Amino acid sequence: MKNFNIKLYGLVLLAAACLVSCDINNIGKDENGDDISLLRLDLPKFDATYLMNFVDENGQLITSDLNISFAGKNGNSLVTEAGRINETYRVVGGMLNLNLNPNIKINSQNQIDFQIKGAGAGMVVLPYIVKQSLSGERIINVEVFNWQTLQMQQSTISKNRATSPITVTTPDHKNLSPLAVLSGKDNGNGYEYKMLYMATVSGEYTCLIANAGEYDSWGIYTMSDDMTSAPKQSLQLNSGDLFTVVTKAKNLLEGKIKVQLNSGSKTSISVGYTVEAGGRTYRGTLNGITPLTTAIEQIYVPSSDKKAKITFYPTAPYKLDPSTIDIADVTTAGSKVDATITTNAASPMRRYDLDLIGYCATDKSLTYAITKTFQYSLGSKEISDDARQWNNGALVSGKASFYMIPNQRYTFRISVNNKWYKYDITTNPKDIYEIMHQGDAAEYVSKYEMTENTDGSYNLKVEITNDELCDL
Amino acid sequence: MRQIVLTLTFILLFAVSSSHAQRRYKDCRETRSSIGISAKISTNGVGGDFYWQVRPRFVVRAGYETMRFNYNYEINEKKISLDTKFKFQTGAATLTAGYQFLGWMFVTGGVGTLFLEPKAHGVPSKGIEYGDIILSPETVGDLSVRIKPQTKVSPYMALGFGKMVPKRRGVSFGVELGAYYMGAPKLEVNATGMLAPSMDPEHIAMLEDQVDQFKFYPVIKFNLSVKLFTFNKR
Repeated sequence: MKNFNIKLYGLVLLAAACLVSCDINNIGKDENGDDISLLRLDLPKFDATYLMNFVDENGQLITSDLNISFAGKNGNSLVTEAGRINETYRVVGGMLNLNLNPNIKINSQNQIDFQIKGAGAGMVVLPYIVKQSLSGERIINVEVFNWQTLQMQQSTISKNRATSPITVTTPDHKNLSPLAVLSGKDNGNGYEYKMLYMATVSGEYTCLIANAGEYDSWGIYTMSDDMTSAPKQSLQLNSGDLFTVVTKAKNLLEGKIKVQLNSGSKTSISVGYTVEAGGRTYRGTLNGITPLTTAIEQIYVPSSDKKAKITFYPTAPYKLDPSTIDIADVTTAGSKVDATITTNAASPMRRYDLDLIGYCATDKSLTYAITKTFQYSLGSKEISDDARQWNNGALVSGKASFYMIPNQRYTFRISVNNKWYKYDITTNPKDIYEIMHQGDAAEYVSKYEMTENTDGSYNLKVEITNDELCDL
Repeated sequence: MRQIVLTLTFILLFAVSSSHAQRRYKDCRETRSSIGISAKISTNGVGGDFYWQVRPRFVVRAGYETMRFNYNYEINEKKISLDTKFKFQTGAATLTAGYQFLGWMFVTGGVGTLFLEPKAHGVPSKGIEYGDIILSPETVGDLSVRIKPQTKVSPYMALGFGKMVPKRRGVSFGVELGAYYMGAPKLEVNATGMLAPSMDPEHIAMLEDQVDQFKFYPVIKFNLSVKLFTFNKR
């Protein structure tokens, strides 16, 4: 019995030890005694991001300041990365990066629809309507005209005015001379810009088109009009108002092409494309990480000719197979193309998988991972800023894959709140020390690790501290 | 502190009881066996047992207990207020054996399939400010946390006071103090929207570290047993 009791004592002591071993005072604390959080909070995810490039007729970014605003159904639905909404956005350097309000989700029942308009000293921004029915990143090129260029065109326009089927009459019944010929440029809503005018006096302006029967709709839009409504043939204007004459072809149908870009591994890509359809050529760039499912929208074709041809222009060392695809009918829901991205084996470039984490320097509790999509550009450090060719891409949740040549220096820039932040990237292990000791307390690289994989690719683990992230 | 007091009381009670341990159990000559049922209420639920008194001091029991309750509360963290519905569910299907080593004290142990599964589901009660906009509760997302024992079958051990089963009279009453061993609890976290990073394995591991010490599920159990049949063993 004595032996039995000793065992029982042991059992009770074990139970007691178990009970007292639960130190509830340390619950909710980490090893340093700091409070831990049950919740981990991400930045909001945007269903769509828009990179708006304001370009001249040659496709070059406008360097003059512009004031850009938005109208239409979702004109108030665009926000900065920090969730700010401005009535007008001052654009410096020709680029504006905005996002769809994260509370709004794109689906077949909720298509996004907004109009970009703007102005700048000596500049004319050609309004453009954006429609989007599939979530993702859109790169939008908006054309901007310089007054000086327009004035230079005047002599050419005067020569051809007699043969133009469009006549605009002023309030005093005189024919108005256009500022520029805009034929071939579309407003995103099926209308083609024909001519740009400026009202010389205040009053009612009337537009006449000789071959009006060829169009479904035509008329005048001012630069501030809501272009989702049909244009009017006569309009009250004030002296100095800019306006355009637009036409919409008969039996015009709106189509889109769903694009699926595949690759063997997750790869951050930036692929240029052209779509030839309905006598027009649509140009753009697809950004994202493969497998990338996206759509090229706002393609307008006549009902008699619904076919289209898409051609991809990947940047080196990528190849796309097939690079050109014919589509029989862009207006059907099944209008879809699939292409596979491969890399040129002969290229000296190697794939680098970047894993980037961003920290706020002043508030360590805001150590958010970069969990949303940012626009990045990568270019050789050896080439000057003016001559450098940038390879653009999307940094998704801090991850991007791109190709670089080993033992080289590159400049990596990331667009945050419409500002570019530049960082040096090296593929030379000897340069890592230098990279780590650049910058200041508000912006620096706190970690840079490069490891080679067995397949010849590299992993880049980089941590940056940037005060700009404190505001996100 | 409460645990320490409880433990000291536990040890004291056992020490007092052990001073009488040399006293022989007077009814050791009893050879009758019995079958009966018990109603039980415990920190692991309400239920019942079938028991078989194999020998006068040795009893085998099979039973079931269950308990559920809901509790609503609000979690306020990182600018977010989560309306949280906490659903506590526990219970067990048990197979135990007990030994009445003193007239008023017994030890019991066995195994149980522990149904312990507390879970909480939180949804934001309101949106949160983000720049000039208010992020909707749908955008912020929701969070579900479920705690599961590490082991599917849990050993159970307890010290009992009173009678394990009725001896002479038809009814007996006993109290058990013990615990199920469930191992370090595992957390299952599901989250949507902006709360999705709460599902990161690294974050879950950190939370599991917090509950890692709760390897035992404490049980205080009250048994009321009724003898149904008695038969003599020869």
